[in-house]
Amino acid sequence: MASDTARLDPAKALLVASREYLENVRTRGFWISILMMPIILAVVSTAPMLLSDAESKARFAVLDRSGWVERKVAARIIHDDVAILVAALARMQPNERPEALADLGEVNTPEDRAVLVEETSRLLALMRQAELAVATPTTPAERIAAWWRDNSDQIVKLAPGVSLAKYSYVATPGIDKTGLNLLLANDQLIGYFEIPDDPVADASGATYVTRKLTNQDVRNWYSELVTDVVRDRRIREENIAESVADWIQTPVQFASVRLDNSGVESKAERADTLGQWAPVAFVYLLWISIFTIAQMLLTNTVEEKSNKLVEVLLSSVAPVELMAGKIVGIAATGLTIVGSWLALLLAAALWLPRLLGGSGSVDLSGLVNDPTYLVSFIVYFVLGYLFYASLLCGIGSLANNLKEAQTLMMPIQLLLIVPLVVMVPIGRDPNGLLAQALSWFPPFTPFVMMNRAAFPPGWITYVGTTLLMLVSIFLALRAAARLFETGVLMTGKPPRLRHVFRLLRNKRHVAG
Amino acid sequence: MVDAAVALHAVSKTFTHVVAVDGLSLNVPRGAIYGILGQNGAGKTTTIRMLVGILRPDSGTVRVLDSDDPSRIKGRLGYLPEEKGLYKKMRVLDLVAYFGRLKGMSRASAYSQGSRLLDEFDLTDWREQKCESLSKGMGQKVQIVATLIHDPELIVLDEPFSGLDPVNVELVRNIVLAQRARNRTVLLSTHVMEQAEQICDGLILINHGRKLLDGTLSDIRRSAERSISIDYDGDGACLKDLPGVTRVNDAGRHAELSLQPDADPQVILARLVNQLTIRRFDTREASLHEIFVRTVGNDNGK
Repeated sequence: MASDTARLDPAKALLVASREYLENVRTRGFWISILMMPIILAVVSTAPMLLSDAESKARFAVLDRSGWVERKVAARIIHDDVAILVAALARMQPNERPEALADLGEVNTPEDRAVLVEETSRLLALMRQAELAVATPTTPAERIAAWWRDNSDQIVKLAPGVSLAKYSYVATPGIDKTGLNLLLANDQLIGYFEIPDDPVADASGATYVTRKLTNQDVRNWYSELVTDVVRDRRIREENIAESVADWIQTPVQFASVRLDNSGVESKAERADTLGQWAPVAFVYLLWISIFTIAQMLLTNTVEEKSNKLVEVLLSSVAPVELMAGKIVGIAATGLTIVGSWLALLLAAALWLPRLLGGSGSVDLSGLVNDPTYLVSFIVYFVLGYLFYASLLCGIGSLANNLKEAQTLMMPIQLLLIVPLVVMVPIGRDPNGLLAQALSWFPPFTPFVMMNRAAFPPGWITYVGTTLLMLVSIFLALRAAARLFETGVLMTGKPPRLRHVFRLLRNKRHVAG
Repeated sequence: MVDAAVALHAVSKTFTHVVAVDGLSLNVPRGAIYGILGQNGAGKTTTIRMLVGILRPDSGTVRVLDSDDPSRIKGRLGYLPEEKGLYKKMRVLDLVAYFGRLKGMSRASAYSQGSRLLDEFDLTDWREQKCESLSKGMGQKVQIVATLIHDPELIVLDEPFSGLDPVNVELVRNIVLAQRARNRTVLLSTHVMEQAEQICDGLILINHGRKLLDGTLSDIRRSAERSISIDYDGDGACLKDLPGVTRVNDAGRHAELSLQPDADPQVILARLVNQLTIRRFDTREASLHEIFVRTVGNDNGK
């Protein structure tokens, strides 16, 4: 009998698989659902951005009793924004820039850029004060300043990080507090800042008047700038040398450094941040696709069972061929879904920023440069997939209708909650006891191992868990084949859990 | 029997709590149409599933065509189960070709043979339609095409006439007869005794997984009791006292009388005429339906 079980004609299994695959893939609903997923994700993730855009810029005014603070702060804002813009321009190819800014001279070194920023912001500050007219801009700084003045709506698109994107200063010359309060009441301002007569001596009179206490962004941002400006003035009044002042003010910044397995330290960069997020993305991807195929698998199996097609099938192929075909077919379906999503995601990451008028593309090099990283994802994904597909196939065969199938699915659904619940703690402590223990529990292994990839464990764990998964898949397939060959011919009430275990032990009714 | 298409010997099959088939033996000669009769739950479907290699028996031997393991020769068997399902979303020709290929046909021959059979069954216009658009009768015809596409040597049909209108019953019967003409063996189970009577060369009646009757139709008739059918007016109480009558099935104005083998119908008629108004008196061989009801009734009464 044992040899009968092993009798498997791959051609027949493949025939079943291709029918199963085509049936799923040929429906319009399949491709709609594939497209719906990224669209929903895109909407969900961009909606807050769009909404905050709609709420749009925080319009604020300043009641400056000191007579100099607002001007200094404005100059600083321009300086910072120009720096961001210049940095963004420097990253672009000349032909990607606005036509007027194609030639910026030397912008490759930080020093070149600093000079350009200084010059440009000085010009802009002058323009703002005295309406300085630059007839025909010649130097790069003049060209940027002129472009800035004439295309203020384009700045945000080129350099989304500028403060202009979020905050907008409203000049209110000669308007007193009552007038400002009126503007607040009419929602023409989100708030205004009141700067005392002599903030250098005593800044206690500084206030921020608003009707929306929930939004403190603009207050934090502006008060930081005012603090800087006032501090500068204080330092100057105490006759502290500029170099000493700089030294005093130099903050202590902790640079993020990542230590890898071989003990080599490397600077954490943007690609690394992506590397930290990829595990979470893959865990979700595996999770969602298991749920998706579960639905398809159960629908197909229940259809075949309820109209007795399965009897015709079993009079042509062995149960193990039918099941293998189903698993391969459904796995191909699932990988098509996941592959399509990944392709869409990649296309979106590469093209979307450009389409939205932003610059450059997301740096995926961190994923591509480390092949073991990507390979381990693919391996665990396929392993996890086969494991759950076998379980679902065996269990699905016991159900006569979708309602029963849902009930039978319950234990697996409960099991699948665990990887989601532990995702955050494991992400935080990828080599902790929880992560290590759950890595060796087959239903969770693929999830947890993907989850840990940001700080990968030793290769022994990789090899060990892969072997563990292979053995588990083999056992799951065998158990599923047992359930399947009895289950698919069974009608009436689906068995309870203890009957399922008895089925696994009992004699076999079905011919190989 | 050397030339048997199917030879079961002392086959038994038990599920968890139910003995489905109990020491059943059966011989079906090649080129014959054989009927399996029995009540619901008698063990017909289990027997058939063992014949086509879906189930394996607990004990006994199943020899089909020239193999002791029917699951190894699935490509030479054609099986139409009782409930006929189709993949709703598949096109008709794709579906029949799929089943042909599962039986081991090449893609090309499955499609050419599939179209040929669909033409033969008047389904040419439905080739490219989805199965969900078929009526019940057409769906069943498609099922039969899928069963016959690989030209099986043994064709097993579970309740092939159920749910069909008279025209389609006629059609299916002609298909079955045509298979016999090509020296194929057909094994069918049915509830419709008239059909079995008309087309089967041999019959087996099973109950509770055991064989009650087996043989050709005339064998079975000969072994059965003779009976008299009468239409009458009057008090039927006297029917019970007639000489040579073993059993009376009295419906008030109509009665069936079962006779002992040596009883003389003439004597009985003489007695009846004296006591009742006889409108019709009919001696004949028992119908298969009567034999079925009586034999199963006796068996269940034991």
